Amino acid sequence: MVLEQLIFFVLAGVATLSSIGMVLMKDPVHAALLLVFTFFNLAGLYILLGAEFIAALQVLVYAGAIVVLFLFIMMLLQVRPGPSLNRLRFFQTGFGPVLALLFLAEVLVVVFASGFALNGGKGFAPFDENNKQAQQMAASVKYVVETAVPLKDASGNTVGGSAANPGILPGLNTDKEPVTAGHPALLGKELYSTYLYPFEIASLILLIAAIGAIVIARRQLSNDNEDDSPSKIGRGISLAGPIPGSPQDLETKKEDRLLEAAERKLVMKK
Amino acid sequence: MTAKDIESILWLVPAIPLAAALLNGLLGIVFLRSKAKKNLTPGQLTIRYATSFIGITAIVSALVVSIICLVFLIGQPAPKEATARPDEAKSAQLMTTGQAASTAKLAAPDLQTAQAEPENLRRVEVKEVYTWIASGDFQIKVGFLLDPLTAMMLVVVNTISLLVHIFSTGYMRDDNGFHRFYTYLPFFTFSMLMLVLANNFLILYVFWEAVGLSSYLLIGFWFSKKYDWGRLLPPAANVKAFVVNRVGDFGFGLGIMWIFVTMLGNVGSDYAKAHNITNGFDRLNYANVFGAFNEALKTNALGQTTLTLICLLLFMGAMGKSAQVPLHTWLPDAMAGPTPVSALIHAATMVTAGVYMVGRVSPLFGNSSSAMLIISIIGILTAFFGSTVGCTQKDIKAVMAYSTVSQLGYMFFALGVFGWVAAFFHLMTHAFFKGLLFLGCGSVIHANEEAIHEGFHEIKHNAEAWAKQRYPNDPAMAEEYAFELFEAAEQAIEYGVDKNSKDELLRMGLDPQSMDYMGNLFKGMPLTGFSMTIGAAALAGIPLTAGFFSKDDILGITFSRGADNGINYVIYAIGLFAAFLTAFYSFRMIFSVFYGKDFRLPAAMNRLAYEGMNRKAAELGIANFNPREIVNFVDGYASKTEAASSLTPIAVKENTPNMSFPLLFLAFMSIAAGYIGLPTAIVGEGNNFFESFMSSPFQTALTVKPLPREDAGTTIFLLILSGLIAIAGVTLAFVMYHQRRASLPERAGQLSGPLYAVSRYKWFWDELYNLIFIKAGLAFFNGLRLFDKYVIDGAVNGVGWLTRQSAQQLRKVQTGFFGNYALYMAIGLVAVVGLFYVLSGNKIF
Amino acid sequence: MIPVAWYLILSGVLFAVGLAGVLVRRNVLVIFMCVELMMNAVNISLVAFARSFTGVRFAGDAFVIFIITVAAAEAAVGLAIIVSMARQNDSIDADQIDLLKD
Repeated sequence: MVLEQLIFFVLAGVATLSSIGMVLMKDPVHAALLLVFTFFNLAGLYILLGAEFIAALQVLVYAGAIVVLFLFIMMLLQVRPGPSLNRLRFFQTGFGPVLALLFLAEVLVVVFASGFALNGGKGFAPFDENNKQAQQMAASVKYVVETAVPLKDASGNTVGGSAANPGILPGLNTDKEPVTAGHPALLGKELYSTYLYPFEIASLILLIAAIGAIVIARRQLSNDNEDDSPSKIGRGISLAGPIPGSPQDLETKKEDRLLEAAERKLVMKK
Repeated sequence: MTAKDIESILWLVPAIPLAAALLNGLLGIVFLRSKAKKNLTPGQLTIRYATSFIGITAIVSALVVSIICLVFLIGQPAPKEATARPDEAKSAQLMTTGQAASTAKLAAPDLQTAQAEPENLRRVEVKEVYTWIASGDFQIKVGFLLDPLTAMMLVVVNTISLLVHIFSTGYMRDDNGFHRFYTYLPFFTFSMLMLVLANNFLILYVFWEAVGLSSYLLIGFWFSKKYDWGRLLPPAANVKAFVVNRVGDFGFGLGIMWIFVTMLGNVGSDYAKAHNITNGFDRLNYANVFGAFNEALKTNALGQTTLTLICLLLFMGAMGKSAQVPLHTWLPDAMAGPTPVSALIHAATMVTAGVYMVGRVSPLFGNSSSAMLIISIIGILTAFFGSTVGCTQKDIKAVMAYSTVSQLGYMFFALGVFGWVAAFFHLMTHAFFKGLLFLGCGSVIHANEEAIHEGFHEIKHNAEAWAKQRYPNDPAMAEEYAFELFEAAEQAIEYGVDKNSKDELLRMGLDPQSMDYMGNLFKGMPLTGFSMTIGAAALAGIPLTAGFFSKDDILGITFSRGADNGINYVIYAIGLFAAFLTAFYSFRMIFSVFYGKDFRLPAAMNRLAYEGMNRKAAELGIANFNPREIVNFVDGYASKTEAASSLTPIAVKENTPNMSFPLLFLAFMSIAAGYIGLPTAIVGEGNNFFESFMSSPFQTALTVKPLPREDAGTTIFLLILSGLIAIAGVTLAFVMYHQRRASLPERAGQLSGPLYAVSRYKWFWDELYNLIFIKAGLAFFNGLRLFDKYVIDGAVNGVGWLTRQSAQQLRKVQTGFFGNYALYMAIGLVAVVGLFYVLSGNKIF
Repeated sequence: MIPVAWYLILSGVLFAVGLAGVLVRRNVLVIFMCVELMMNAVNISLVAFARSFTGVRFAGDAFVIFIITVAAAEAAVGLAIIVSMARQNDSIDADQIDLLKD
């Protein structure tokens, strides 16, 4: 099993390094490419986990669709570096990695203190005869296969399946082929039975996202936000202002003036 | 005429005045509002007079029904135990003291059956006139109880009320609130009638408060008055009356609640089971309460302490309503109302409610000798207090007010020494002569005011004539000066000229109620003078008047009770001294108002008018001004012979017959009423009509403590003694005020020194209350105000300040850069994961 | 045989890197990419858990599929927002956009 671990280390190490590189790259295109590289490595890890379908999805959706979309956008928009208005920028840059390390430390503590300790869990490998977890997993797969409802064709004959379990999965002969947890057929079966509603909701989300993306990205009509822009409404409902003439009032007025000036500047810029 | 007939007409007694009040109120609201009399159309004037007619008719009808009821009760045979024989009483006493338990056990059922068996024919109870609140088993019924006590009160209340109604047609003739007055008066009468008729503690309490409300309305009748010669103004006076009464009613309410709680407890439940009373609120009926309490007292289910406390709480209410020391302070200030109202309050309604209530609850009071002792002490204190203050008051109505306080004190100590009938006898005679005296006062004040107004007309007329003569070439200026001078004189007479002057006349103006500016009025108003003299004689207790008999009845019974408790001799002595003072101050009033040598009003008017006109003339710059050229008032009766063209005679005139008739009628009653209750010891057992008639309501109390029977000799001796005392008082008053020899009153005032001040300033009660409740209260509440301002408001504003300040700081967190929000989220993420891990209790390594 | 803890540690590392990237970078697009990375880190741990706990059957795999779906939707909407943002403010610099303040 050394080979397997070796592969894991290679994949994980490359993924980690390329992700770090992504964060450090100045050019967003480089970052996107490194991100694709990371995703490929992760897909390898999914295969190592016995989740081939997800590995395929990872490559298709993430690397193929999403990152390509990113690249498209990058082509559309040119980034002009400007001065930072964010007063917490320094704090963010300095304290962000520290926070990330703190979080990592916490994860490590949790992992080490829990039953997933490196030497305690004895690792995990599919189809390991000596691994109790693996045996339980196999039993679970078997359970899914056995309790599945037989499929019948138009003439009433069972379709597919094995001699012991006729017509469980179309196109899958369980006698001949090993059934793993990552098998797309099993996953699809599960998705369309146990996770039917979430699945439908996910499809709805995709639809909404598609429509939403069109609506948001569409060029807005010229005087859409002239009268009731959120900023104006927001200031309009301030009910309890400070007492007129009080120091607070003068201060707010001053701030209001500043805000108005900023707004005018924005409008002019447009 | 049977009891059934009486039951069917009894409701008319309160219903008719109520209907009249509602009708008048409606007429007033719809047609009259508060327009001045001169702005009314002829139709409205007719309605205006119709309101008084409606009021009088209503009270006449109620009076007729009341008299029918009274006559019916008189026609019924007296119940057997009406006058308890001494031997029976003795056994009853033995039982109550519980000396012989075995005898009590044997005798108790006998007595119970004896009491339950013979039906009391002098008692009509209408259990349910209507149901006030009905909700399933929860029912509050309004019921009526008619017995001699009620019947007597009904007749007295209606009589006085009727006369007040008639008198007011004259007295309130020109008042803009005429119809309002005739709305409140029947309502007041209605409340009092209901209070008297109630058969139930709850209804008693309701109308107890209704009487308070009516008095509030009537005392504050002239709510827009701005000046009342230093007296409390009506809107303040009615609030004072209401608030002081609240103090008493607080106790009264507690007492009734305690009774109710007791009746809902074992005491009442046993009784209710035995007598098949299902409805909870029926347990508050007098008959049930008294029955249950008496049985409980016999079986010792109810402690003497509880009973005494209940009685004292009830008496607290009586103290408020009947103006007993120390809750009397509202009554003198209640004079702010129109004088007929004072007559009604003092004679028949309101103040007698307390006496009536104690009499009505006599079965409870009679069983608690400690409560009775306190009542008699409070009573004699009040009687003494009132009579001392009455001696020095200048305001004619104040004299009468303190006289009422004092006479109510008499009634209460009569009740306190178990002289039930005597107290009510005095209540009745007092109603007549005090009603008379108050209406007389009203008559005098009214006449005085008319005279003063006539004086104003004279001043105006003369001033115009004078100015025309002085400035013949400039009519406009003459007119202006005449008007200015007249107004100055009028202002001076009404409000005084100098608020800092030591002279009361210059400071306050001419108070038409002050006896300082009266005198010799008899010549002008013989009818009023005559009847008021009779009223004062009755108040003083001059022999053979009604007051003489009733007061002597009280004093006599107090003297006899001295055998039981030595303190009663002291009470008797103080009562006698108070009687002397009463005679003195009542005739002080009569002599200084109706008799004496001079009518002092014209001189006072002159003085004020001159002072006012002189000042105005100086202001206007009129040279060589002599006010005597304008006006010179003289006594219209004394100086007829020397009446020259330059003098203006001023005199009071007798009022119209509608005002003098009630006086004459009451004068007759002030004499005659005494003869229905001649002392039993003299006329013989059973011939004292009032006593034999009135005894039945006090049957239970009289069983506990029967009336003492003196021999004729002692009674006659006491009669003569109190008669002599009264005559002595009158003589003193005659010497001091009729003869006015060498300014005796002033010298007496100086001689008595601080005592005079104590009396003049009413024992400083108001000042004391001012100090205790107003000053201390204000200080306390000022403290609370500061606490509120600095601590409460400080906390509230502080929270606001803190919120504002913290928001000022926190808003800086809202930078709008989403990277910052991501930072906060990350901090939160790290913190929450860390926190959960720590909380999970796992070891870190 | 790979202990499940390795996957978890890898997941934690990737997540931390993504987190740091979100905080450090100013380019909105890169920040978005870092978010995607963080999601992938979570996906790994989910699948690893699914392989070590038999009771949950395909829950881990199913979750990952849904997350990928949502990520796709999110990418669509998010990029649309970025486009519109860039059009309005002429910038995709996170430190020049403080619209959240209003």
